[in-house]
Amino acid sequence: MNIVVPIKMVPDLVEELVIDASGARLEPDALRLKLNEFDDHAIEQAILLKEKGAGQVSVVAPDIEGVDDALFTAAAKGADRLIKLTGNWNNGVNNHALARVFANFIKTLRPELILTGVQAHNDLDGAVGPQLAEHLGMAYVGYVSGVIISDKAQVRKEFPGGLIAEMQVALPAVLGIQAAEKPPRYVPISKVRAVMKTAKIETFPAMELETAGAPLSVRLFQPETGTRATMLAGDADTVATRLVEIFKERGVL
Amino acid sequence: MNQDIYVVVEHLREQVMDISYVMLAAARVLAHATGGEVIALLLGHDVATLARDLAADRVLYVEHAAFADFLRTRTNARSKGG
Amino acid sequence: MTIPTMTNPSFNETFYASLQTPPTGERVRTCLQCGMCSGVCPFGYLMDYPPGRMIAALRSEIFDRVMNADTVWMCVACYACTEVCPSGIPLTEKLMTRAKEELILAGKVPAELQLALENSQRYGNVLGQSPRKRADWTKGIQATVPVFGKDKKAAAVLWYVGDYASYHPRVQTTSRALAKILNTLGVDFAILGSDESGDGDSQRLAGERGLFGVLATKNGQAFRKYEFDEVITTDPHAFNALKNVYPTLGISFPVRHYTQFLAERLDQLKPLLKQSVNGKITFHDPCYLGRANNIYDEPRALLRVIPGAELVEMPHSGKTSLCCGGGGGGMWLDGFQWEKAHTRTSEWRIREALMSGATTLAVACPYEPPRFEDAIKTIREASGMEVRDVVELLAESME
Repeated sequence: MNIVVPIKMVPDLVEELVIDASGARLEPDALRLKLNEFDDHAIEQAILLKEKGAGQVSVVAPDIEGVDDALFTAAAKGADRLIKLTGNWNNGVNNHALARVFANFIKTLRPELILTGVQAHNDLDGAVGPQLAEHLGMAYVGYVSGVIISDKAQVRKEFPGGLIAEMQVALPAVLGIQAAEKPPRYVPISKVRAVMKTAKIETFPAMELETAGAPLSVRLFQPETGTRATMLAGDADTVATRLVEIFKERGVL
Repeated sequence: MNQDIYVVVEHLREQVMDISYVMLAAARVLAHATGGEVIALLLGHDVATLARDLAADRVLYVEHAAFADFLRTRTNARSKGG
Repeated sequence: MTIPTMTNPSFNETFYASLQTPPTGERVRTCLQCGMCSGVCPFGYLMDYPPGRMIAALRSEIFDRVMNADTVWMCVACYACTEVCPSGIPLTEKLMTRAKEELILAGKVPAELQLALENSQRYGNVLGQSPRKRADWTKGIQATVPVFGKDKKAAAVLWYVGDYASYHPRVQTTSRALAKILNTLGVDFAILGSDESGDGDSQRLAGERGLFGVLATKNGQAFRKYEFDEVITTDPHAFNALKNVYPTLGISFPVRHYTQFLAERLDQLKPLLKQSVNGKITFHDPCYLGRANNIYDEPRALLRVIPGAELVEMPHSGKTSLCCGGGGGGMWLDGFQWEKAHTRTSEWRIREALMSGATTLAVACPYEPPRFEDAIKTIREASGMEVRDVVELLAESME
């Protein structure tokens, strides 16, 4: 079975985020990027499946600074193919464009299973997975925290309130991984160094970026303190009347 | 451009989830600005009763057996930790 | 004893052979099974395989059982076993560290430690702080702390600060104290600032030799950019690495712990110490200053010149000093170790300090102020005990 794990690099929040001169984006020079934590879980889940005999694991990433390290670490864990997609990533990459880029390339790999991080801290709406599935005509299940493969995939999906669902998904499918069955393993540096000598990162050109559909950032800013609360005084009837007035003023009623 | 604001109603185990009520309230604010209506979109199987308490101008209820396990996972869901 | 067979050596054989590297590695073959190591080990009673039993397991060719146990992570690399071994086996550096290395290679590493190791690799410091902020502790303080590259390219002394002394709020106090003293003594020094990476010694002893190599290489590159006559540090772990291990990687220069540097300048220092210190002081010998590097006198010499200082010794002192529990990865295994032991060596040490009649526990290692102050919080009778690095006591006396 071919398991593909598309991953992305996201801003490392240990460094201070600086807003650029336009006021609508992060200053790229001040950024340090790291592997999206949920993608790390996706890699781990893929390797766990491989260790149970599921098949080959290919990790695919946009060619962004710092990605080599993430790819070699994945290889040290057991990933079989490391793939970088080259393109103009300088202005950042929105999830609509990324999903198209991934779909365009991944379809050539003919995977049975695609695991990707369900979200990222700069992509809380988790747009990549569902869009990728849509482009590829595959099913999508998000917030997956366990995967068993037979001829179908059996996945554990988390719902709010501690509810867990076990679902069967026909393959091929895209799964948005929330957590691997085990936390991402530690890879000793000596192993990564050894793998860097033998593993090869393949590069392919990404398709032209199409950003249509993505929201456009008009302003990026640190949280600003809001106005103070208004205390309503009086008896219950007075307060209730005033509340209804406020709701109407605000268009809620 | 269509002035209406649509809200997909999320429900689980015969109950509308809290977030949908929040969304309907937010939709009301947006519809106020656009001058359109708030339309709730309810997809499910045998959940017509859920359409009743939605704060929307209209509810579009789409009934199909395939939706039985889609948003309402009563038969397959196993509660964790009781 | 088995020499690795040419065809298909077992893991046991390979591991045992790997321990026997010269100059002292072969001594493992002369283990008497006397049990001194396991007995003196602060957590020997808890380990499934304390040092002596680990060697017995190797000889019985059942080392794979050691690999299935996780109690080697109770080892805090305090060198007590190495100190007492009558055969002179390098138990800490070779046996315990090698066992940890194999566990890490097999993917068996406690989650807390994993995070510390990943932070070290990614940020160059074990605390996971931004490397760009490594010298931020020098901002807004009274003392002047020149930074190599920014303020000068050459200095008589390169002060290697280290992770905790750079980033940990409690330990930054000791850094400020040393800066003040160096200024007052007119020492020509500078620090590396954000060019500096963690020394990696505790990570090495926790089983990540590759990580140590990466950090050492980075530091080597930083050192090579500047000119200096010697290196000083407040960190005995860094001191140990820089003095004893970096030279094996081709990075070599004179290096001393700050207590040695200041002890040399005792005559200059003494007249500057005006304020008296109240109550008795007891000095805790850090493992990496004492047992690992045989430095016992200089810290005490410094304490003795503080006006009003009355030194008392704890039951375990000098060569028998009781580890604070921070070495060999212990700093990053507190949860794991607590689950197994429900006690901490730092707590035992505070009780000893109380027994000595001292009200000030003097230390000389960056792990110690936070560890001992935390221990004090859990021992009601110790609420009046204060923990101070020797350099802090000196600086306070200079006011």
